[in-house]
Amino acid sequence: MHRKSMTHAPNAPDKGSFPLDHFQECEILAEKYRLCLAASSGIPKKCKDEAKNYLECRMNKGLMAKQNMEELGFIPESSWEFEQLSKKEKIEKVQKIIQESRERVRKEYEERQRGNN
Amino acid sequence: MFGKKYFSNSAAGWYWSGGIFGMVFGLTYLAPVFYRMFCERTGYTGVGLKQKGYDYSKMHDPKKIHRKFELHFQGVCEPELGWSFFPLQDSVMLNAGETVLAFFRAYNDTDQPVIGISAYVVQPDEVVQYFNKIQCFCFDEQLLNPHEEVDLPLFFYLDPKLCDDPVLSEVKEITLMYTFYKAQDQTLVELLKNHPNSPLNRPPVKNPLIVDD
Repeated sequence: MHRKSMTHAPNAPDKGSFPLDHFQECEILAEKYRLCLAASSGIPKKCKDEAKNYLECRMNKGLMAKQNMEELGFIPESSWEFEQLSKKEKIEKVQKIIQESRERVRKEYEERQRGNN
Repeated sequence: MFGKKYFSNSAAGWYWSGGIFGMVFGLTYLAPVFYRMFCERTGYTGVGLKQKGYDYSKMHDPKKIHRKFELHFQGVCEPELGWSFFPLQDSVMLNAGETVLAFFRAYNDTDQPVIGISAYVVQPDEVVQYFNKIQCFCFDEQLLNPHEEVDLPLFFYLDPKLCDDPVLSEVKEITLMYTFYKAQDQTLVELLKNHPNSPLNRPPVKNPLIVDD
């Protein structure tokens, strides 16, 4: 099977290059984010607030083009809480299916027993 | 209509073709002007033009948030550059469609301002087409003053289509490696050395995270 597109040259970033923060203006917020990330065993979803604060700082200091934070992916659906809730729902759904199928098997077994007697 | 009057002699044919040629030539010159006028007047951005799609929240796919990838960061640089360059986090655990912020740090060990330029590779190779940078420090010249240290942020996401790719169905770990090279054109450095308002002549900036006793 011929693969449609294997590797292609990296393309330019959408919003271009981040201007360097020569004056360390947003450094404290960056450090807060990094500490949060280290404390969350490398799960950036748990540190969305800190990341949002850092990017907002960059926008306020003219180190990043201003944009709506929702458009940058900071929406409730991409939060850690939403993911945990979604995971819980899926597990409950699976457990329900297992329980229902067990019930069905048990009922069929009982009917067959009744049929034999 | 186009009777004998206009095509009475062979020279007329040359005049006609020359005139038509000239008109078409002139129109192609004026086309961008008309196009711009039309676009500004009507605000029409074109049906065929693919919008850059700056709304990254659209990348979120609820069906794909549970497949996690461990993305490792690596940073290397060319020895001639004289910089230290490394990621500030070893790896992150993310899903496709999630926007992630990551940092690298670069420190200019030399006594000269140096311009570096970075490029990256992604392993496995096939993942690179799904690796989308919203904003980063790559492919752009970065100037570091002597003994200056900067944080280089990277804001990116993995396209959810990655999860649909059968070639990558078993992929759980991805490596992103940035390499910094010395830019061939260091002329900006020379200009800065001689300019009175050059950042090289500014007093050194105090890093707010370092506390002097």
